[in-house]
Amino acid sequence: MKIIEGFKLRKIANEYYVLGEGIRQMGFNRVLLLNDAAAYIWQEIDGKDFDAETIAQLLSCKYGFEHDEALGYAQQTVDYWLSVPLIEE
Amino acid sequence: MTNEEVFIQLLRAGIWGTETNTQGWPQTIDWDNVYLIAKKQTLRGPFIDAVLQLPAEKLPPRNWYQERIKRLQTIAQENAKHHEIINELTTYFEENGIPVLQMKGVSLAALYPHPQYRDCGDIDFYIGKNNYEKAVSLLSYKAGASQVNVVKDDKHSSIFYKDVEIELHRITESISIPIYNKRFQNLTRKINFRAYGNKFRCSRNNTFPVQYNALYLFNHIWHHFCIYGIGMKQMCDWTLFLHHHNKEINLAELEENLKSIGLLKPWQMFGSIAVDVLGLPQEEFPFYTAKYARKKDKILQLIYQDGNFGKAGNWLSKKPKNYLKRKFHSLYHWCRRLVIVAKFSKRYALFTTIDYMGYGCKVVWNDITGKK
Repeated sequence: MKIIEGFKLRKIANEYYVLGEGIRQMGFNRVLLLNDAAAYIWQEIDGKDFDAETIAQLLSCKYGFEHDEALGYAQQTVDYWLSVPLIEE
Repeated sequence: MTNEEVFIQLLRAGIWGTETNTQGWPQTIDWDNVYLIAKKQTLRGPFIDAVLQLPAEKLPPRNWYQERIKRLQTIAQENAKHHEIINELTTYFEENGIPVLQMKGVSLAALYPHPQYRDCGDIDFYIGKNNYEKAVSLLSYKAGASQVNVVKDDKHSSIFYKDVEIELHRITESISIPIYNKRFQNLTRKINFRAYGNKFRCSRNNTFPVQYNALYLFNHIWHHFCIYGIGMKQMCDWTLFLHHHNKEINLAELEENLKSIGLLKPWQMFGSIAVDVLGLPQEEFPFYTAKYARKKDKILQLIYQDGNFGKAGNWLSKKPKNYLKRKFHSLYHWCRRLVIVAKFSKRYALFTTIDYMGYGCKVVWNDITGKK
């Protein structure tokens, strides 16, 4: 998977927003706020191929989650980002 | 500090990519009103971009700036669409044997710290006289356009393609003073379409050579100033153009060309906006002089009053429906404009008024006789 071209992460005050700025986001008019963990993941995977396992490893390393727990959170993140969609297969 | 001053501080940050100087800001800011100024000047993008970079304690209320994030996204999306259309149409024209040059628009947006946030207008292509008719036919066909809007003196035609207005220019600009116009058209004729192609950002963008663009951009500003008014967006474009290209400009040639069309003095007058208001370093502005500093406040007042290409001026919105009243309304506008422009150039004021009044009479005559 990868982040769809045109989505940009932007820090405003102490919050992270995803802005849809490309041609593929025409008509996308939502304000998407990421929490610190999601923003951290985004920064790490931006421009790279990834899967739920990649995200789980990032969560384990950064926040010390057990692998299974991290994988659960990672899968939830992937499912939500696919549903928006912010990422694509 | 006034709303206009807060706007300028944020605009400077937006166009230079620097931190906003918030010194002297009032405790509470009327953000809706400041935003309205940015909107009137078609500078919402750079303005919002700067607002979003303010430190947390200076930011507007959260729900206020979240709404503006949506606007910023839309501006960026429109820019992406413009890039795509420019690429598509440039290729289309070239495949049909017509070289084109893109005027203003994304070629100037590229000079902003965040090009995607410069508010979009239409897309302008310079075609020239030789291929003009063919280009209009080709684009009309491609766009499935039933109506082509031809502007005064056949300067350009506009056609909507994918909901974006495309202007095809036969000439880049016309000047109301015949001898100046002849000189300017001679300079335009020297443009070699093939020589100035360059690629930057994501658009395949062929634009004017720097030397011609320096003259053209100001002539364009001046032309609109003489007829309806000019907005801060055009001043920002010009300022950033000079900032990026001042070293490539042959100053002796530019001075000669500006003098040849009577624009050296207006250039210097408007320079006070670029330098003293928008913050262009003085040494980057050709022929800077403090001699006309007094004009700065008047120009600034007109900019705030007229907005982008004069579209925010009350004149256009207050046009009466009745035909005769509408014509007298226009006449009144031209008389008022004559007085305003005369403070900057009496010659231009006189000729522009004669030119547009003559055109108005022609329109009335055609309406009476039923000619198109």
